[in-house]
Amino acid sequence: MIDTIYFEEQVADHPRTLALFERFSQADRIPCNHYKEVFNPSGQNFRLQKKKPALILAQNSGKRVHPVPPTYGIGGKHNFYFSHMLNCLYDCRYCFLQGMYPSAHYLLFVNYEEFFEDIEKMAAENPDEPSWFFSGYDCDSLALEKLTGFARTALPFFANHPLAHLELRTKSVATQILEKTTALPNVVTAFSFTPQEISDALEKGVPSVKARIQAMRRLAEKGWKLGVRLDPIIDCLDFDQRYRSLISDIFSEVPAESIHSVSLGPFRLPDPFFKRMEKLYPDEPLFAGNLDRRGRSVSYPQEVENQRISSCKDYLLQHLSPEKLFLCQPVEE
Amino acid sequence: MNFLVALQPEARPLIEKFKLKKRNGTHPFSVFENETHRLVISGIGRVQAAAATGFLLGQQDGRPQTMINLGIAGHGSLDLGTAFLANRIFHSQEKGIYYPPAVLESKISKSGLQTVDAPEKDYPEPIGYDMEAHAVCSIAFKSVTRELVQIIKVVSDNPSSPLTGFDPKLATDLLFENLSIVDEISEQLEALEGEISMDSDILAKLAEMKAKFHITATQTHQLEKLLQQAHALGLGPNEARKLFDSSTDTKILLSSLEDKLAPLRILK
Repeated sequence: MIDTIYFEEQVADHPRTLALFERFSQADRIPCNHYKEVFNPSGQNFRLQKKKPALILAQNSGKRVHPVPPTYGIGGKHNFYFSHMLNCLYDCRYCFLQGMYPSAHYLLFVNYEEFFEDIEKMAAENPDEPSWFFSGYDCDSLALEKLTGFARTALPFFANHPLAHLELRTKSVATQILEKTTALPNVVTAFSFTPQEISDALEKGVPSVKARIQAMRRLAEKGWKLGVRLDPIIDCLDFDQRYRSLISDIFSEVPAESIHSVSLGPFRLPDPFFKRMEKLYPDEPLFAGNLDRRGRSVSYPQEVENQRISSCKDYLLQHLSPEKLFLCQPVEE
Repeated sequence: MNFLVALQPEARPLIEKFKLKKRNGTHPFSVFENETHRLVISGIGRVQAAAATGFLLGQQDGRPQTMINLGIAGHGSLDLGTAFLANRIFHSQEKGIYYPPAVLESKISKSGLQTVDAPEKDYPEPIGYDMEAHAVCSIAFKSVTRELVQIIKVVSDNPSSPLTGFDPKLATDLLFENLSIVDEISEQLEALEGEISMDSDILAKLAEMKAKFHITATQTHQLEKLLQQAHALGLGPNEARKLFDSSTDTKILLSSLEDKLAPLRILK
């Protein structure tokens, strides 16, 4: 699965580096001074690298925990995100990572403990209220769990820090670590969905909708809180029927009391990201779709977006109380 | 496919394999080519290699291109005659370190490679030593998709068989012996190039339209985009053909293409 491992010399002896060297003992190991030498150069082709991504092991010595835009969130007042990893196992055509990063290599920051120290400090700034920490912005939180062991390391930390709330966002069914762990009230595992037909067309490598719903059900049975993320919402033929059926399939299998939150997010991309993605995949029907430039973003025309969000809200409210439903609004520019 | 080699004896196997013909006329570097391959002989060292890389890439038409720097090299640990792909290329006095992305499926050995200004006879590290690759990357990576530039070296000397002088016959023989690897890598690079190049039908249509109508740079861009979208959205070639034949100028063509694509823009 991994044929090439780049590693910063400063993490060469880190226990996680050594474990990964052992696990991928046949992989070529290439030292570098800083991950940016490998990850950042311009002129790399994300599409070609995605065929065979390498693993880069590095230390994140910069800012590790960042505030989340105020229009995002799932009910908490203090919201942050962090990325122990950049890039994803899956290959979703709408994903902004393709437009944001010059490289498709998996960049793993092995200094998890320093992330936790920062999270602890941030949470301590609001000692009377929960702070939310979102882990799945720049990678899938669970898809590469067998490789990273991140959730396995993070869960004991969050068990000891009840005011720090964690969202694991995923399209994976690699939920074994959660199934083996006693459910934590401050951890939400949020599954992202598009209807199966859209997933088939746009989400390469992603487990089926059915398999993800089954994973949710298993976690619900173990007492874990769950999230549903319909983000991005993709306009398509038979939109109403497909999204209604998706929502119905989820709620017919997953008990409503396990659902912590559902969020809806319109398809939107910063214009420079969209341009890069369109150039990478000129044959992609999604990018040739009925899209508008609004401010510095590309999205569906406002009327279409409003209509699609409204339909999804209606279907969701048949299964869910309104206080659990959140809309991730793009930041106004 | 573009090849850059330092010396004529290193070029010979490629010239014979691909039946390359020497380009006539006066050029700063010797050029050998056929319809699909071009080879430039740079001479030894970084300055020559950088200049020859610039010259070679300047011959292209702006589409994605592939390039291999091929030659012999010393190595601190690999056996004589072993071909390797360079995966980390550096020069002791240069800040830039180059990592040709590892996107190829090949059993070929991989190794770090230090470009040096004088032949390395002590082989202090278990890596390769050459005199051009760093300069090649420093120029090629500025204009060519990095995945499409690879450095292949064949070990001509190592600690058990150190360098005594350049042996042209040995260089030719070693590269002949490894031509199948070069072939395998170049085929893969060409396949990758094909994946990110514009579809040949679209290019042909564009050329046809340019010949038929007066077309501005902006309209060329608009037409290129619409043709790409037509391809993405599954507009049949016959339907596109009808539009071309019935349009009397570029504006009408652009507008009728837009109209034709509008109902197809919903994702199925």
